[in-house]
Amino acid sequence: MAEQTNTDSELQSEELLVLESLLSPEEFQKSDDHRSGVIDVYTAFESGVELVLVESLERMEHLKRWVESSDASEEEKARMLEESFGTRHEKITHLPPISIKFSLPEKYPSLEPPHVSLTSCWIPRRVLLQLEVFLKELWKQNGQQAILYDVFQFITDRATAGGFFPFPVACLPVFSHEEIATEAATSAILESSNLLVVPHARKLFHSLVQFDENRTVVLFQQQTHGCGVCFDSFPGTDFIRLTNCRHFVCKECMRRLCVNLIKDGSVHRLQCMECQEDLNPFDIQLSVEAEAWEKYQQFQLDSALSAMQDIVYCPRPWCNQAVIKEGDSTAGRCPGCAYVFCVHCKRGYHGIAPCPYDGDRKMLANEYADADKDTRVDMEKRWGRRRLQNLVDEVKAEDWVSKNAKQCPKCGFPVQKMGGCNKMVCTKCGSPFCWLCLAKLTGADPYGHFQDPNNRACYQNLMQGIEDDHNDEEDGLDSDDEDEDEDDLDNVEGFHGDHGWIDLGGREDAMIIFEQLLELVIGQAALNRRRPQN
Amino acid sequence: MSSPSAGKRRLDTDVIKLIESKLEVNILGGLNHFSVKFHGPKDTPYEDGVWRIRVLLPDDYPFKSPSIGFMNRIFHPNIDECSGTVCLDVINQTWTPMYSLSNIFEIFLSQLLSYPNPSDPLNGDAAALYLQKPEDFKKKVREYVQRYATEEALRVQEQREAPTGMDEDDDDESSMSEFSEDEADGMDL
Repeated sequence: MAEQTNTDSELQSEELLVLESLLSPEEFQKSDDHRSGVIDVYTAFESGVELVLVESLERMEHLKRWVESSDASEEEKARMLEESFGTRHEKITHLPPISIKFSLPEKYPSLEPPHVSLTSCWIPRRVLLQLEVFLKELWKQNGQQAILYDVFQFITDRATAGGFFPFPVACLPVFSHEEIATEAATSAILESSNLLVVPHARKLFHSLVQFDENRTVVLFQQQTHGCGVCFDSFPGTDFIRLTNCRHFVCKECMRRLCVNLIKDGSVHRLQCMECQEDLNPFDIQLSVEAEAWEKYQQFQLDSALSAMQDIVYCPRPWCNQAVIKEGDSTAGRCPGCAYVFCVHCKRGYHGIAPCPYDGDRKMLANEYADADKDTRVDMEKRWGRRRLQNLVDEVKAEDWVSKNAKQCPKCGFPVQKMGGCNKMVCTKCGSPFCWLCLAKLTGADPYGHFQDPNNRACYQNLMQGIEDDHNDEEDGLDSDDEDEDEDDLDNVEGFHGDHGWIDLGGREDAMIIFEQLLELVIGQAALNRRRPQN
Repeated sequence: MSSPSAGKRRLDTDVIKLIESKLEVNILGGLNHFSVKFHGPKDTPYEDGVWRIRVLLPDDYPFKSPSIGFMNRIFHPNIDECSGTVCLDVINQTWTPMYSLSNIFEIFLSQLLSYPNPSDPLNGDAAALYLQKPEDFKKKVREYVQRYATEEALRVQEQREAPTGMDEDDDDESSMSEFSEDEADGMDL
């Protein structure tokens, strides 16, 4: 008898040793007593499994129809699933492990089977219990030998073959008790199959999706991968998993992409390099230095603010916060420094006393510009010298802009056309628009606008004005400016429709020039805001 | 991780791939500045034409698109006659780092010559002719090919550039301006 026990314990430690060498530490954990432990079976489906959250018996019928439509094309099947389940389906690859908790009795394997209990969040309890019974049988059938590795193998095979799924391997439906309990009582469907009915189906659904995501990242990070952009190879930890499209991109390439586009002001082109899906701001923040991130945010804020008409900036140079105008009131209240000012002259609020800057600003500017010295001094005393000079500059710039530039219909950014056709693309927000009527155009077919007879002004006028532009290019810009107003701006280069100027410098330069222009237009306040003092 | 050579491997690989393909590549100033001999696609009026295309790869390649320009003259709605600038959205607006130089020469440019986009023209005359008198357009394209885009024409152009030797930028400028003066009368064919 003693001899028998010795052999059993020898066999047991031998078996545990074998398991330890065959399975990874993640898959096999041994307890300190050397008699028990846990084996985790991880299941992966390379071609993916559709996880479906089924919340009613009616949806169950949809699901059955989908499963049975095996001869439909992939696109057709994807469409069916999308129509019936929307966000309640997700393709996953990895499922959480099935845990095999075992303890070995003294007389295992010769006289007693191992004690095995199975747990899994995605296999019905009933099925697990049946399996436990079956595993005891397996021990008998195998001639009462050590069977732990066989158990591992059996469950792995069955799981990857979809043996635990009520439907073919392509689908794992998740049901909820609460929602279909009453219907289920009258239906035989749920009793006859191994459906996974759990109290909190939605929670399970999301935790399965989350597990799949985490596991994909962990496995990716354990290996070395080549980057499709820079062609270098890096450990998986040097890649970032994009939030929106879930592609992996090497961190350095992601950084350079973001830095370049932010530098150019082309933030609307911050997209995944593989699929052109927009980048999540969170990924951008992770990828770039603080300075570039700030610039990115500034661009986003600027375009949001410039889309709003009712914004003025606090005139205090050290504050410069955006202030929202209140209805028809001429008083602006700065939320930052609590300064209350007149939105026209930017001085302290002067109640109902008339404001010289309200109304015809142009007249005031011209009056000041044309006035003789004494009158000027007089005017400066009344309305402030710097303000008057700013006003003259502003009016000049506004004049120039109204003559030469048009505002993007989406973001209001001033855009100048230098040549080419009348389909323009805003330098700032990237949206296409018609130069003639300033209509927003659709990204898919921007030229359709010029072929629709309903657009009287623009029909067949895509290229209207091209001759003039061409002349401008040849002799307009380089010649001395006849117009004095253009002194500050004679180097301005504008944009030629949507054309791919191959010269890369152009875009950047023009961006800077447009920024200068914008600063002139919105005056000193904007200048201070962009280049904070100190 | 951001070693000085980051991105270098990509640039080298792209250029080497280009050299290994059937295209003739002439280095003008290092691996980032060269010209590529490009043949007009078959079954188009550009067939039999041969152009030298200057390629300048920016430091931030492939995050910034390459600058490319035709060095000898071509009559095409989307290519500027004097500067050789190409209007092609995939080389600027919609450029992504996944594109490569091979894409440009093997797909994008051939496509552009086969299917001009007259609704977004850089050369208005060419666009108008292409739309209104397609036969005249083809004729004019062939005339240009005969005049400016033969092996002989390329040789003459190269010889003209040769004496200035190593100084690439001056070289290009002089050849460009010479070229414009020379062809000034040729423009009103």
